[in-house]
Amino acid sequence: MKVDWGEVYRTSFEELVRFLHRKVWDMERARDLAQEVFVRALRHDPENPRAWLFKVATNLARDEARTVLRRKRHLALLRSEAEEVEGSPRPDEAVLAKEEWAQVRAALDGLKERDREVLLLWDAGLSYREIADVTDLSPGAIGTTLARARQRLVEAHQEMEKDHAARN
Amino acid sequence: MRHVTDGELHAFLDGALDLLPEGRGDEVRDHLADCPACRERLQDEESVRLRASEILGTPDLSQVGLPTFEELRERAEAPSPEAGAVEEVAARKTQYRGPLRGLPMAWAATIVLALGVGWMGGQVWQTIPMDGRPTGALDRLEVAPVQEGIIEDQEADLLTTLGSDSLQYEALVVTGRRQTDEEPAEELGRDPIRQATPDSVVREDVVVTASRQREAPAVAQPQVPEFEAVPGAATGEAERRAVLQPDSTGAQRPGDTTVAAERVDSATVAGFRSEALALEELVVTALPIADSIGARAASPRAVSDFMMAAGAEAVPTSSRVSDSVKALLGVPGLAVPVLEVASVEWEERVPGERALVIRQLLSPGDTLELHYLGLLMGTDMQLRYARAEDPVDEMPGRRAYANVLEASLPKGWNQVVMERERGLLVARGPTDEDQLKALLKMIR
Repeated sequence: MKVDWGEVYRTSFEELVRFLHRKVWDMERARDLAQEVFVRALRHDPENPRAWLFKVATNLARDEARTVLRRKRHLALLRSEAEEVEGSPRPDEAVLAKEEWAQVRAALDGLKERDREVLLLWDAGLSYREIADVTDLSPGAIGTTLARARQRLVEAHQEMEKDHAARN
Repeated sequence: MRHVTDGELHAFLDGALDLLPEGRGDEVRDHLADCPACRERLQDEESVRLRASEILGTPDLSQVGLPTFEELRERAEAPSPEAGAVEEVAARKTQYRGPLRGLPMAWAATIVLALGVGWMGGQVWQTIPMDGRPTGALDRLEVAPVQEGIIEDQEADLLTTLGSDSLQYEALVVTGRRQTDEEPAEELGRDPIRQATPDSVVREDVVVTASRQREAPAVAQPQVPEFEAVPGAATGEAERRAVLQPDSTGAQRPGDTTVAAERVDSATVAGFRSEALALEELVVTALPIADSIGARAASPRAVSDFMMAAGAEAVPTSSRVSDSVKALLGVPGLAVPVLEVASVEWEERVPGERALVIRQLLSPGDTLELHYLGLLMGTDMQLRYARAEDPVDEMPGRRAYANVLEASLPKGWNQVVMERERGLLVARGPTDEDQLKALLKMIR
């Protein structure tokens, strides 16, 4: 069956960017990676587009973490500082948002890789079957993995909020 | 009726009960209607689910402009800037007839430098240094002669997958056999199987990949960078993987090269293809052992057929692996004595909870899988929990056991379970239950 890529774009592209943002924690880079993934998908025309997109995005983000991001980190920092000067959110809002994201990131980093993967894929709107396709877990194991991942995320975040409150 | 597990509750909340084993979805619904305790747990889990969603939040995309679909399509349809190099590389690669032949000299030099060996003609490889230490995992590889034609066949397959714009890569593949004796235990990392008894030989697939990233048109001849070895930190598998990357003086730029050498088991070969897509690497794999393990015949076979094909006592590998497993696990034997052992490995269906998986060849193309869940349970008390009707989600053995049993079976496959010492042995294969039981009895 021919894939309606316009529909796939409409239903998946933003989720793909958000998913990648939680991998590379840089919105512009996430957008660029999502573009790259989508362009490749259009060229390869896979049968199971959403699972393909997220699987390739996962691998691409992993590759990114290993190489490019390491080398570009200082550039990304400079760029984000420049954006803050002319950026739209007020400084206090931006700081708040950064702190919140830092907490989310730390809570996610505390999860096992497979748990984090399943949780982020679910959050990106993939079905259990699609998550199983991407992660190679059995579909019957997704619920168990998600239950544990959600529980641990909530607990980790709660701990951080407590620490934060104690510090302030 | 047994209570509902946390995983089933979340599947219920996510509308995915249809993916549970046949009939279990209805049981969960009925049970929730009748059991106040489980309904209460359902409310708790729903709160956790909602809270997790709140924490994850929604990144604001308004700060970055997203491309339109038309822009993406236009980019996908645009010719690759490296198109001019494609034909040249394709022509060079199709002439491949042996180790390193057909690779540019820079590539051959890089590979030899990186691996530090004379590799031609099945000689022994040296260790790839990683953080200044031998890896152990890649030590003493006896390289079998490369199969003629392997590159062309795989290349054709990858071209279909990747498209013609991905041709600017070089790759070669070997399969090898690793001698597991004499390896220093401290180098072996987490995988106790590799601490096998002396004389045991584990057949492994070895893939060596040489890849080149996209070449910028302005770079006439890429320099061979100096390499530094870095562990695969991102994967957490430093002891199993060595990835060589350009050092800081050869900053990442178009035309840079990377060389990676990895052991892979057959089950991950398919995953490699996907990773290759993501990394834009041409990873070529063509491993005979993968064919025998990966293929799962739909038609049931009689035990007598493959027994005759295998021949009693014809394959000594089995008993040797059993001996090593025995030494490791304190279990008399886990493999069917007369069948060749294709692989012994740890499987982690639930993160952190591992099962030992032994794959034995029934006949060409058919594989018997034996999942041993002994160490996961550890004690008789835990084993009782694992087999109890009441859900004890926190018992790791139970989750691993459930995940093995719930894993979908290929068409024509069956599974049976046998108690084995302090654990359970799950046999799965393309034959009927009685014949699987007959095979398991042979282990006793």
